[in-house]
Amino acid sequence: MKRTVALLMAAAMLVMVVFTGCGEKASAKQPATSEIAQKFKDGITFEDELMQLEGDRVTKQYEKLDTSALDEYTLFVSSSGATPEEIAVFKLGDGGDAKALKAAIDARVQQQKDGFVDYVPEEMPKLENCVILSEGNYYALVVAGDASQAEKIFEDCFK
Amino acid sequence: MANRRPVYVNRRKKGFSDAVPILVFLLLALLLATGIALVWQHQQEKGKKPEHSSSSSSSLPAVIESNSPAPGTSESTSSSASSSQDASSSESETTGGVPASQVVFGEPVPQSGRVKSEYFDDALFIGDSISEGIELYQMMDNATVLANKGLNPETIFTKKAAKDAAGNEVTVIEALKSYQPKKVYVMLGANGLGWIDKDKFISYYGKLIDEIKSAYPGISVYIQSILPVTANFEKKKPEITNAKIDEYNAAIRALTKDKQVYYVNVAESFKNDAGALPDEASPKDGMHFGADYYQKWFDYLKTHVVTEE
Repeated sequence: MKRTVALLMAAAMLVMVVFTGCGEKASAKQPATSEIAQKFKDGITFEDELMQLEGDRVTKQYEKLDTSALDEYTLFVSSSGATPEEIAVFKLGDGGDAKALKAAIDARVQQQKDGFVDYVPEEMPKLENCVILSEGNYYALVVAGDASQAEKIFEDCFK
Repeated sequence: MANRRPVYVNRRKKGFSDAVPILVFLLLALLLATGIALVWQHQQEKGKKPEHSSSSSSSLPAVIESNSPAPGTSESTSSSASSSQDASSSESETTGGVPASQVVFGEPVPQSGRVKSEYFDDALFIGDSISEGIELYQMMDNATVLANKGLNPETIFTKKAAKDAAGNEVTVIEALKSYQPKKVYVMLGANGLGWIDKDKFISYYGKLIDEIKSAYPGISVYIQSILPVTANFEKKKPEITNAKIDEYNAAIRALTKDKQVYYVNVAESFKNDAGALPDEASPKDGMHFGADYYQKWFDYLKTHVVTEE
């Protein structure tokens, strides 16, 4: 009898250990990129009207971005082209190349700098002070007049 | 002597064979628990994984392909308005452009019949940030656009703002040979007229037209007027006024007579009674406008077409 009870308790402990291990991973917060982007939109002042881009229009703006490596993304850019204001949130898929994604974001910022330096030089500070963030497999770029709140907004999305 | 109850002592040897069932039981419990946990995790991830936009692969148009226009995405309002107008006009007036023999170089292209969006299948648009909006708003996905915010008649020769067929970064001039359009539309000047002297501006523009004609002998070349800005913009940037834009447009028009290319006066459809872009067209920066004015732009182009004979 005692042996049976001990055996059942050992099995129960094993089961608990396994489930706890898997359970923690399953419950880590994985917000939608659209949700994160909306929080940026709500919490930061943008002078420009932003429009959402999808599909081909994204790859035209982010030439080095491999969208097939992403689980999802949300991109807002200036609808008029008059400012470099932008919200970009990417969720890298399993096995996706984080370095390549980071390089694509850097290339985008540089491309915008090259465009705006002669076109509207007064917009350059937004690009100089842009914020690039990462948390796990999430990456974000925010270009705005004052992006100082971006980091906190981003971190709060994962709490 | 009392009868003693026999006491049975378990003298069985405890060996490995005794532990086997226990180990097997534990192993089975472990496997079962792991299996359930994995299935559970998989179900959770499957449930959470949203569908993301899949980008349709569009190859860089080294050669212009006939694609059908892409309506039904975010600018469905403008696309459907365009197609409904096409449908109504085909019932009434003649479609098609003004015969080339009736067009006087140096005069704005007169109003013609309306052409359909397919007309732009083999069109190449060259311009600055305003022309970039053609792609951004998916105004005419079947056309090819070589545009960059930094371009003006001077920098179009120096800025590597385009890609050739091999994907190398080149100037727009160098990229021309990678395309085979049947008509070219140019809109340049909003960026540039603020600081480029008019004579130099026209000199650069003339060189650009020469390059286009040399790259594409015999095709239709449309030089579009520089578009107006809002009254607010003029106050913010006094070096770019609508009067100055009109002055540069007059010089561009004279250039088109000299170069024997078409002058298409899109600006006239954008101006209010005061000769400015209406404030509501560009409430933010006074120069760049939204989807409704891109629609207005292309309505004008569709109704000011020249048919080569």
